[in-house]
Amino acid sequence: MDGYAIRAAATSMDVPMITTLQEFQAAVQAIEARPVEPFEVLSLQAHTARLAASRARVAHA
Amino acid sequence: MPRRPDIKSVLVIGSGPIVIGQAAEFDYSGTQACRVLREEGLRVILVNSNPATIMTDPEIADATYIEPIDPQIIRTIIEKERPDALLPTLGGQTALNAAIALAGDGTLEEFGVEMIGASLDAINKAEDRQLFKEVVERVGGESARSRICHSIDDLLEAAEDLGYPMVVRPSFTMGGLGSGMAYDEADLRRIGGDGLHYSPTTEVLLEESILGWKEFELELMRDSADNCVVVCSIENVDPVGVHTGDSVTVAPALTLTDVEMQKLRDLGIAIIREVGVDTGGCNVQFATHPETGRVVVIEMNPRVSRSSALASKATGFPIAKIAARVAIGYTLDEIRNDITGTTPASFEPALDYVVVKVPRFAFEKFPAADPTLTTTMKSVGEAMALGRNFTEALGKAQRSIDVKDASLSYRDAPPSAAEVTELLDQVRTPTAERLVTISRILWSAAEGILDPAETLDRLVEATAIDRWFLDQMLMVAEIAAEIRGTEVLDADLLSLAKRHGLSDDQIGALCGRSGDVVKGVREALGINPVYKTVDTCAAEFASSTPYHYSTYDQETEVETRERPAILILGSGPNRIGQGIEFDYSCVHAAMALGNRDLPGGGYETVMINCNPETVSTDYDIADRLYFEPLTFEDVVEVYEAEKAAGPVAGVIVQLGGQTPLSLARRLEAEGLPIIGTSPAAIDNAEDRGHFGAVLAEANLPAPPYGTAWGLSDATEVAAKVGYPVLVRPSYVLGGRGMEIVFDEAGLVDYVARNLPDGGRAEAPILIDSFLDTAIEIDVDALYDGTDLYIGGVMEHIEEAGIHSGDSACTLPPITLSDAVMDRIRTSTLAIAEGVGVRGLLNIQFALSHGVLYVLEANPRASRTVPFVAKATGVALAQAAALLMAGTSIADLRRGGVLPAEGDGTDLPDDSPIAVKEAVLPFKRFRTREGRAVDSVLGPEMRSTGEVMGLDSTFPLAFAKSQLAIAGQGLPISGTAFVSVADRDKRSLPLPVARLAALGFEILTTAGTGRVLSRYGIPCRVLRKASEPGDEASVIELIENGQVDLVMNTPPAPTRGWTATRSAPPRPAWTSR
Repeated sequence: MDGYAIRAAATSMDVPMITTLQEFQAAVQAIEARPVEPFEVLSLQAHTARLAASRARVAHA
Repeated sequence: MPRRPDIKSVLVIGSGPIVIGQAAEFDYSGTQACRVLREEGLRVILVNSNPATIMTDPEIADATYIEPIDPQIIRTIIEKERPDALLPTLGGQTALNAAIALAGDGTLEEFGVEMIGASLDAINKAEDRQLFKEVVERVGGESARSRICHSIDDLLEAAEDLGYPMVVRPSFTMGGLGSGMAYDEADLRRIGGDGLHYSPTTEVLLEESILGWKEFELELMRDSADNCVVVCSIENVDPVGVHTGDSVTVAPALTLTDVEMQKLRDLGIAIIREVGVDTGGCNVQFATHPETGRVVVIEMNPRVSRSSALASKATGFPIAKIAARVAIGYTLDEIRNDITGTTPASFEPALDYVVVKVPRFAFEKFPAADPTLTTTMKSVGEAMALGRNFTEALGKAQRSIDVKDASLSYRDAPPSAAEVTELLDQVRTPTAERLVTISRILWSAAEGILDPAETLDRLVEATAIDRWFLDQMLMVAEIAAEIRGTEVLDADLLSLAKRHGLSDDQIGALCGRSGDVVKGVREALGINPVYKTVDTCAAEFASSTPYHYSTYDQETEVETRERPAILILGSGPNRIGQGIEFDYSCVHAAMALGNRDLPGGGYETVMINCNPETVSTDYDIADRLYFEPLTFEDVVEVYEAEKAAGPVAGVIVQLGGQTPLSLARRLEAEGLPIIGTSPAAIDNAEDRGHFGAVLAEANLPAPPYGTAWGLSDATEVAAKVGYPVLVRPSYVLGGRGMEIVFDEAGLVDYVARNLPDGGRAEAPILIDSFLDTAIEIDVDALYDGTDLYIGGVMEHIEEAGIHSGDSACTLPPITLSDAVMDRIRTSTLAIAEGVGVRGLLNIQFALSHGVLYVLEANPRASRTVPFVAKATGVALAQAAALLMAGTSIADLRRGGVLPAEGDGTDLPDDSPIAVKEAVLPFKRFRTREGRAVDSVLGPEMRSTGEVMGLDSTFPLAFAKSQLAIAGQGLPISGTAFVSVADRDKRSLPLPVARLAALGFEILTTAGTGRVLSRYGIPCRVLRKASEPGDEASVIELIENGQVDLVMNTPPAPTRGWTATRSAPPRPAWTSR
C-alpha cells in the first residue's frame, strides 16, 4: 500500500515519477546530459534535409 | 483593412500532446491557421511537441520545431527565427500560458515580437477570474456570487459567506482540471487544496452553486473594425455540474425563446468588446436558471477551443482559419466564406439541421476511478452527428461513439415499474450511461408501464435536464413501443423510425429480427437516406463544398462525378488506444490519393468519419466529406450513394484503426471493394493457428503459448508453457484484462476473478510465456507483394511487458546490432509475404538472450506511423495509401514518395535521435476517496497522447521528451526518493550513485537503503507512512514539495491491481 500512496502523492503533486528501472537509467543519463544552457533546437525541415543529404552521400560513396 | 504589411513571419504555438481537455481540436485549428498564414505569403514558424499531428507535417509550416512547449526553448526558437509576431490563440491553454510566460519574462519585447490574435491585456481580462467578473459587471451582466481565495483559510472563510455546496475553480488550468463541487468542509479542504496547487497563480475561485441550471455557449468572432459575429450557439443537454466536454451538447441551442437567445447574444457581444478581443475568436459560457430565467455568465476563453472546433464542424464556418486572417489584419467582411464562395465571413451561419455531440469515456481503463461526471473533464474524445431533427442527430451520435451500450439496444424487455424506481435513483448522478438509462425509463413509459407525463416530471426532478429534450426522447421511445407492438413493419412506421434516428439493429431488436433483415425490408420498400449539405447558409446560397450528412428526407444533394473515387474510413471518436495517429494516416491517404502528381494518385477522395475534433473532418481535406457514424449500416449507405454518383475504385479500412477494420469482412461480403491487405489476410494475421503456421514456415520463433477454457486446462497449459505467463481473455482489445502470473497460485486467483464460479469461459483464455528482461522492438513497414520498405525500427526503453502504446521508444534504435537488424528485416519480409500484406504492416518483436521472438503482427496503420514519418522524413502513410490503390514500391521510389535508395533501417550514424514518450492521464482520475489512481504502467494501454524529443544524442532527446510531457521536466538538482522492488535492487546502485555524484540528496526506504549503503551511496532512510514515528514520512515530504524526483518500482503484481509488467505476445492485431 505504501508504494501506491507514494505514487499517488507524486502524481497529485506533479513530481516527475518513474516506475521502471529502464526509464530510471535513461532519466539519470538525461539529467547528467541536460545542459545548463538552453537546449539546442532543430527544425524538422533541417532534420529531413540533413537525412536526405546524408543518404545521397552514402549512395554516391 | 487589408493584411498588415509589417508582419512577415509568425510563430504559432501548438498545444502539445493529446491530453484530456486538450486534444485533436487544436491540431485541426492549428493546421488551418498555418495553412492560411502561408497562403497569405507569411513565413510560418511552428512549435509543437506532438509528432502525431498534421500541423507538425513539414509542409504545413516553413520551420517546424517538434520541441517541448517550454518558455526557454521557445525563446531559443525566437532567437534563431526572429518572427515578427506570435499567434498564441490556436494552441489551447498550453499555448496561451507559454505566451503569457514569454511576455512576462520580457522575451517578446527583447526580440520585438508582437502578440497577435489577442493582446496580453485581453487574455488577462478573460482568464483572471476577478478581472473577468468586473468585465461582466461593467456590461450589465451577472456572475455567480464568488470569492477569490489564495489559502485554505481564505477558502474556509468564504464558505461561511457562500454556503455549501460550492463550485471550486482553480485559475489558469485547462479542461477544468482541479475543479469540483464541495458539499462540505472535508470536500473543500481536499478539492480547494488541490486547486491551489494546480493553479499556477495559487488562486482558486469559490462560487455559489448553479448546479442544475441550463448551460449554453456562444462562439463569437470580432475584427479590428469592431464587426462581431455569433458563429454558433451550443446548448448542453446535461445541466451545469457536468463539464461541457463531458456533456451531450446540441447546436444550435434548442430550448431558448428568441428573447432569451437575443439576451445571450447581446451579452456575448458586449463581453468580447469589453474584454478587448479585437482580432480573433472566443467563446462565452452562460447558465440560465430553469425557472426564473436569471442569466449568469460562467466564463470566457479568448482563443479557439474545443467548442470552436465543434462549432466549425457544426456550421461549416472555419473559425480558426478566419481567426488567423483576422489576426493579420483582415476584417470579417473582407474574408470570403469558402463554402458558398460568394458570401463574406461577416454573414452569421444559419443552420437547417441539428447537431449533437456525445462524449466518449475510458473509465474501463481505470477501474479504481470514480466515474461520476463533474466539472473536471474526464472524457477522452467525442463524436458528432447531424440530422434534420434532434432525435435523428442524437441517435446517430450515440451510435458513432462505438461503444456497445452507448445507445439503447432494445434487446431486453422494458424495465418494470420497480426497476424504474431504481433507475430513477441512478440518473440523479451524472455518468456516461445516464442518457441510455433515461431512454430505458422512457421506453417503459411508452410501453404503458408508467404514466408518461409523470415519468417526465420525475426525470426533470431527478436530472434537471430540460423537459423538451426528455420529451423528444420519449417520442423515440413511443416509436420503439409501436414497432415492438406491431405485426407488420410497414413503410410508414419504418420511415418514421429512421427519421428519428433508430438504427437497423435497434429496429431489428424490437421486432425480434436481425439488423440485416431490417435493412433488407428497408431496401425493398425503397427507404434509404439522402445526403444534405452543410452550407453555412441554410440553402440560401449555392454551396460549392461537398460536406454531407445523411437524413431520411426527400432529395439528395450528392453530385455526380467522373473520376473514380476511393472511400477512406476514419477512426471515429478519439479514445485510449485509437487516437489521432490514425486520423493522421487517413488525412495522408486523402492527400496522396487525391494528388495527380504522385504515382498512382489522382482519385476523387471521400472521407467518412464522425470525429469533430480532427483534421480529417475538415471540409477541404478530402474531395468529399461524409459526417457519418462508422457503423456497417451508415458506411454501406454512403457507399451506395457514392456508387450512384460515379465509379468507386476502392474502400480503405486499414488506416483508421480498429473501428473500420472490424467492419472489413461484412463490408466485403456486402460487395464493397476493400483495397490493400484483404480482409481474409487480416483475419489470417489474427488467427493463432494460421499465424503460427506463417511463423513456422519462415522458421521464426514465437513465445510458447496455449489456450484454455477452464481452470484445469489453464494450469496444465501454463505448466507446459512455463511460468511466468501472460494471461488474458481472448476477446479483449487494448490489453483489457491482461495480467502477468508468476505461479500456479496466481493463476488460480486470476481464474477465480475472471471466470466467476471458477467455471468455464465463453471464449478461451490465452496463455503465453512471458519473456522476462526482453528488449521490445516495433517495426513499421510497407509491402507491395514484391518489395519491402521498412519505415522504421523502434527500440523500446521499457522492457517487453509494458503496453507498446505506453512505452517510450527511440528511432534509430540505440543498441541493436547489425545482425539483429538483418534478422528484423528477413523476419518482417517473411511475415509480410506469409500474411499477404498490401500496404502497412506493424510487427512487435522481443529480443531475449539473443533470440528475436515475434510477438504480434498488425497488417494495418499503427500508432507509430506519424512518429516514424517525422523521425525519418518519409511520408509513410501516403506511400501506404498509394500502394493500397495498386502502385508499387518501385514506382514510389521513382516518384519521390519514398527515398530512391535505402529505407528506415539505414539512417546515418550521426543521425539525430528521436525519442517518443507517452503521456498518461492518471492525475485526471480520482478514486472515490479523492486520491489519484495508481500510475504503474501495465499491460493495458492508458496513455492519451505522445511527444517526441529530437536531439543529437539519446540522453538529450530523452531529456527533451520528459520536458515535453510535463512542466519542468526532469530536475537537474535537488532531492530524489528511490525505492524499488527486490528484483530491481541489483541494477539500482549504478544510476543512484550517478545521481548522488550529481549532487542529489537521496531519500529511500529501509530495504532499498540497505543495498545503497552497502555500495557506499549516501542516503537518508525515511519512515514508511504505515510505520509509527514522528519524523516526516516520504508522503508528507512529497506533499510539502520537498521531493523533486520519485523512483518507485512496484513489487510483482498482487490481487487488486493489474499486472505491472507483462509481455503482450500476441500473434494478433487486436491487443493494440
